[in-house]
Amino acid sequence: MDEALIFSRLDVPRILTAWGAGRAVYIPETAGAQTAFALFNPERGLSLHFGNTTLSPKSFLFPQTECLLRFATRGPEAGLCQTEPLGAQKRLLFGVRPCDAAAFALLDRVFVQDDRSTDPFWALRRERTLLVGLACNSPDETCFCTAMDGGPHNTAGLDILACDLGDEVLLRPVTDRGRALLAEAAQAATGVPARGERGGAALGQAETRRMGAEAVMARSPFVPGLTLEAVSRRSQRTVHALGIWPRIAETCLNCGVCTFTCPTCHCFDIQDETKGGSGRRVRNWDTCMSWLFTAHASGHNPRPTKVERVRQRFMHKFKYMPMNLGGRPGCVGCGRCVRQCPANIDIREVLRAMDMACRIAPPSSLIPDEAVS
Amino acid sequence: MNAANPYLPFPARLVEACFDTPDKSLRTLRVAFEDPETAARFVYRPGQFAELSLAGKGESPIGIASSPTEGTHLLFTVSRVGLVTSALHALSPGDRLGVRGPLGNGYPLPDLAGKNIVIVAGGYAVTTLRSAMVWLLDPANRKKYGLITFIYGARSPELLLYPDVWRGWMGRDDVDCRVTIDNACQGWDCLVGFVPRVLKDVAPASEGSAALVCGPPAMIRFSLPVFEDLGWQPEQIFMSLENRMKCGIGICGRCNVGNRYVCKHGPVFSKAELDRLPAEY
Repeated sequence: MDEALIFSRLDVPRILTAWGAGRAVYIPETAGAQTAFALFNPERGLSLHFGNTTLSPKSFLFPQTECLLRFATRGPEAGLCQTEPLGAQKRLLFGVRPCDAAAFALLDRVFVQDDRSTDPFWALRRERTLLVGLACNSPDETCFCTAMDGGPHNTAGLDILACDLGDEVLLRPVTDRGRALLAEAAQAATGVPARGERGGAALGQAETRRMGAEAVMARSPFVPGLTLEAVSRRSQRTVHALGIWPRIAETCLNCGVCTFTCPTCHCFDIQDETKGGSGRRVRNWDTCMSWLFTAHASGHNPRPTKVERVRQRFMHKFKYMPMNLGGRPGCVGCGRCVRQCPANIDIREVLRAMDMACRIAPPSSLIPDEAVS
Repeated sequence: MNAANPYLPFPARLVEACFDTPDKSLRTLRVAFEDPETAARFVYRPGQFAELSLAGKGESPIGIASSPTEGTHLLFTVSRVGLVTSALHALSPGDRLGVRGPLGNGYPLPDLAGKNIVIVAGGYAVTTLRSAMVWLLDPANRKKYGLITFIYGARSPELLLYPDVWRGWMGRDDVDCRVTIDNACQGWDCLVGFVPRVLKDVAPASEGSAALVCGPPAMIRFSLPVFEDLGWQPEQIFMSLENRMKCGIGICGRCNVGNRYVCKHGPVFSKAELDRLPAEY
């Protein structure tokens, strides 16, 4: 299936049921104030009207707690470690927002860097997880994907992008896996190829919705003019030394909610757990907001106060990751940290402050070739 | 590194161990892999480190003090400061531990062939420099390098690691070995004075030279200006950093200095590289 297909919206549950043969299918479900991915149940139906899920779907590929290996603590086998085998379950996530899919594409480059730095747990889960995105037609007030190399109908990281056209749904394949999946969908329900007059109308509608979504963000007081351009031109030493950091960090509680809700935050801790004669080594989500994150056993801490820790988070997103990933920001503009921060720290305002300060900061004395705007 | 699961340590046994200092805060472990094939595949360079793993306790990143030219046993000198290192101090010969590695980049010794090498060490930061020295003085490698100068200092004689090894170097004519302590004491037969002072006296020429520097912050702080006064460039000086680490392969995100991970891109950085990074270490 190379081309996009148009399905009746009423057929979507049937398609999800067909995809569910041999796979666990998850869809976003809203309960009260929370929207979270849950196992698809045809009897409960599904809604395509939801903002970004409260938490990003990163836990499907990078669980909050994950066993890396097991061991015995007694007997002749004590201390021998065995890899925890990953289950063979295949999954399909339906309704992933393009920002969250972009985060997966970004984390692919963090977890699978080269032969020496490949995380097999991430790689295997990624391979076994199909991602069907749902294009954003009405972004949240905190969304700013368009300023972060993304867009409401972007396909990066996805296998299929679905676009809600009201009575119809347009499914656009992105990868070979997505094309195979679309062929499965076409067997479960009648799909009309998106070509000819009808197809042109559907594609036109999708385009209108994309422009509408982008216009929402363009009208936001927070998004226009948001750019990494000046930050990317200045040296990391200069951005690090900007005078803005104490003020930005002032209200931060170092609670870490930004890092846990962030789809691209991936830092983890490794800890041993034992019970009786056996134990396991697990990795848990960690947060750079914690003092312990960088504390040396000697007591020395390279990031001793919250100023250094808050700075680290924004430097990582807007300076270090772009440096390491060919200019790609380490933020996808999902807006979760803006919504969840109890101290109302707004990453968009932080970036704007970085941008302004970078435009006027004097050049670093140690880096003679630094470009200054 | 285990290709299928980089978090899986290789099983190893403690062969022998000795406390290096009277206060028993430092202990050198000689470790052998259980599987000879693992030992053969564990190819490392001076300056690299490994995560020493104790099931149920955790892991600790420790520099490899042995040189690959010394055979398949690994040497680690461990300072007792936390949970894992205390457990490492409590191991008996024959006990099992895990070794995950080799990790990090190591000293760029092959790139420095043809140069004079100056090694400046302070306290127990000498561990990976011991590895570098033994490697450099191996007959197969020694002839590729010019003058080799080894300057090593500690507060007092009993805090100097590996005395048998450096006393052996003192007897050689192809290495200038200077060992110093902070304050004079009875029975001490080598130098007295801080490392930067000794470095100033030696005054190594900058031309065609490279330096490997590892030690406490105060030693580094006062040694770098000495090099600078002697006309050394930041590209010629290599330092090894330490940071809290977990994964050891540049993923878990905590040991970064700027955009570089100490575990993956380091721990060895040239001063020129460090000058371009935020000084957050």
